[in-house]
Amino acid sequence: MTILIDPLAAGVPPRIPAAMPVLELCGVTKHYGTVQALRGVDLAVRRGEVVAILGPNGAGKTTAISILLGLREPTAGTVRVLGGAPGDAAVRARVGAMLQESGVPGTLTVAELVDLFRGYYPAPRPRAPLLAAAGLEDLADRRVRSLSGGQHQRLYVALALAGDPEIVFLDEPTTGMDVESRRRFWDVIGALAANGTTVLFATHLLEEADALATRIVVIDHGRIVRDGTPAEIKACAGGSTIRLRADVEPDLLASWPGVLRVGRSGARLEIVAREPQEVLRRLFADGIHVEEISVEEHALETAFLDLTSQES
Amino acid sequence: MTATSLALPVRRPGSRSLGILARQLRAELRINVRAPEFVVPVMALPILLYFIFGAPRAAEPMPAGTVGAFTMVGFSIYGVLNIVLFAIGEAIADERGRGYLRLVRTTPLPAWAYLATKLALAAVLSLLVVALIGVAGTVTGAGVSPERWLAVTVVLLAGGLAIAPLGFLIGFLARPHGASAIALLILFPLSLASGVFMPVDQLPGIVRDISMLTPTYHLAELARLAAGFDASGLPAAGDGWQHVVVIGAWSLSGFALVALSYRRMVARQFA
Repeated sequence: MTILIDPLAAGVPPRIPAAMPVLELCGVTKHYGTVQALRGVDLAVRRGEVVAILGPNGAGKTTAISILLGLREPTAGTVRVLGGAPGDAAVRARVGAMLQESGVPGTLTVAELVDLFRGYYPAPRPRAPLLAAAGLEDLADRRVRSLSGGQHQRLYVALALAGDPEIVFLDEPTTGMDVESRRRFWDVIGALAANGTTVLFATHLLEEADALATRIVVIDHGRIVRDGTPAEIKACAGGSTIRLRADVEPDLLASWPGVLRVGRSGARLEIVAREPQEVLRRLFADGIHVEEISVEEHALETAFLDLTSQES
Repeated sequence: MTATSLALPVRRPGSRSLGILARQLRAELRINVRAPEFVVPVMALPILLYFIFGAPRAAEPMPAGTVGAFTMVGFSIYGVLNIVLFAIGEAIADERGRGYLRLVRTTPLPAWAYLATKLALAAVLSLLVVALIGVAGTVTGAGVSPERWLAVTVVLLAGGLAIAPLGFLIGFLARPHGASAIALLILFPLSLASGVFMPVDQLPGIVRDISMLTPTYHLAELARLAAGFDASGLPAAGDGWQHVVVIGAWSLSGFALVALSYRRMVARQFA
């Protein structure tokens, strides 16, 4: 019987030159019946990058990660991970994953479950540093079913890191965590990144992407709509919301240059614009009567909504 | 570069596979034995049933053997069937439903190792239940010789392997929340067909005819043959080859269906 865990047996080179991407999606589409989850995604990630896949629910984040992990086959396009096919045992030996729902056996202790997973990999991380990295050192002898939600998530981190992976995939890792757990979790990811591990995580929180990632890939309706550093993503999504009462047709305002969106908020109009002073200047210059003006710079989350709503 | 690559240790596949299996099996045993919701209905119930129905009249003689020996065989078959349906079937469906199977699939653990461990687990648990019923029978004076009970044990372990497809099919095809209900719906008629609750020839005609087509009926006959009597408690006659053939045919078609349903499950969940 052939054991594919040995990298040599599957012909996967042990190391990939730094310039080459460690993972690559080329023209990847994925249909579930009539639902198009991904519509032509191209993505290349180099070693050591910390990439956030940012998008609203249903954007295709989980599908993209599933394809990169070899859990799902793309309908079209090609996927390479560490120079091989993502489902190969030789590739799986060198990546780690934290998925959204993984009901691990509750009757094992943390140490037993972690050891079980360590046993799956050819060169696992030693148990003590692994538990410490995930913040589980005091919980080693606890039964898994007695852990809190945040502790469960940290256990999943430990399982993802058990094989000392070169790439870690995390699908919405901080869902359901309280603020304290989330901050602790971010520290764990920060330490991984500092260590040179390539990290790719899905999130719908721009704040989280901004805090952790060196690169943010915004995905919506199965397409990549932006790809850049956190600073670039925030810059291109900049702008403000002007709220005012005015005797003017919203459609007219919407046609002005620099106006992204016009809506209503009670008796007031809501104008989303890149440069609010330009809009106000023109309102005054055109002699339109305005009152109750307020201008609000966009918070990160609104910026993120701007980015994705342009596609829909 | 090439030199370092070649210097990587290449382990002997055989020893490595056994190591994986041993570790998986140890974890599986812990997972199951620590869960009262599994131990009580699946492991303890057959022994309890023996104490209720067999033990009080254990030494009472039948045309061949004793009432105790007859019920020991019956509840052992019930125990093995129970383990196949729950420790394999319900457990796989549950791990599928909880997303655990997905997580395990991201690791290098080969699929065959996961499945083989379930089979090994069922064998170890079956051995435990049959051995405990053997002890219970000895203590209560059922008068089965160790050699005969060893023969029954061997038949039941091999038979458990042969009917394992029932478990895998539930595991791959059942909806996770429906798996235990389906397992129970299979457990009851197949137990009836094996003569666990009453001798098969006392069942109504059509039920009896159908029973005699089931693999568990033939497995039960084979186990009783090993114990020295037949379904009516008369001295055993014949060498049991017809039972082996029927069980083998069921088993082969069962494993073929398992292979198909495995592909279907993978395609539905992972494609």
